Amino acid sequence: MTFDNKTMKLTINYGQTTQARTYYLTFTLTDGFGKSQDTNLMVVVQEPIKVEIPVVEEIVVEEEILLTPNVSAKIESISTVGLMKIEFNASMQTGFNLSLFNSSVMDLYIEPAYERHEEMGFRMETVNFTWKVVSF
Amino acid sequence: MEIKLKFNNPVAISPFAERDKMVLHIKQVEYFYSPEVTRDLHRYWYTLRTKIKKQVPDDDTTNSLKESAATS
Repeated sequence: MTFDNKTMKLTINYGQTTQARTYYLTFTLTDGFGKSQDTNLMVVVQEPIKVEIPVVEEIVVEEEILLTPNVSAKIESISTVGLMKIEFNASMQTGFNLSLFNSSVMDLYIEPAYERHEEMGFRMETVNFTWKVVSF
Repeated sequence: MEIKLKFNNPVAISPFAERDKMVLHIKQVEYFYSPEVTRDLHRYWYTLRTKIKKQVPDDDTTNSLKESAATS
């Protein structure tokens, strides 16, 4: 704040990004003997600039699996003589030539328990197999 | 869908208490389309796993044993 005989400058500083508004006030001071004196007062008010901060709404997207019906599958069973049945939760397109289902369409393999395939002397060919789609 | 597996050595499958796992991984999903749902198999199910029970040879001996067990 600065002050002299005729002008008082008052600055209100909010300490942040501000914009100023200036007001000019004139006071007429009169004493009891009829003598008067004009005094100008300038008031500068700095106001914070309103900064529009974009609000990003948080959108929670649930797992697609929960929102839309999907086609799922599971290995229903494998018999003791190696007949594996795959079940789907919906009717599937069929009528393919079954010989098209080869290793370029899907892979099948055994994961040995106890990670014994990493042991010395384990031969992976002992759990190898061939496969053939017999119905779909 | 049914898939016939022919093991090189059936008795080598799940020989211990903990069973081996069969893994089926689908690489070409276009063969797995459902007209009912109008979409392909969802990616969550591209790889299927299950434990596999002990295997026996699929031969005449096994079949005759099965038949005798069924008739006894």
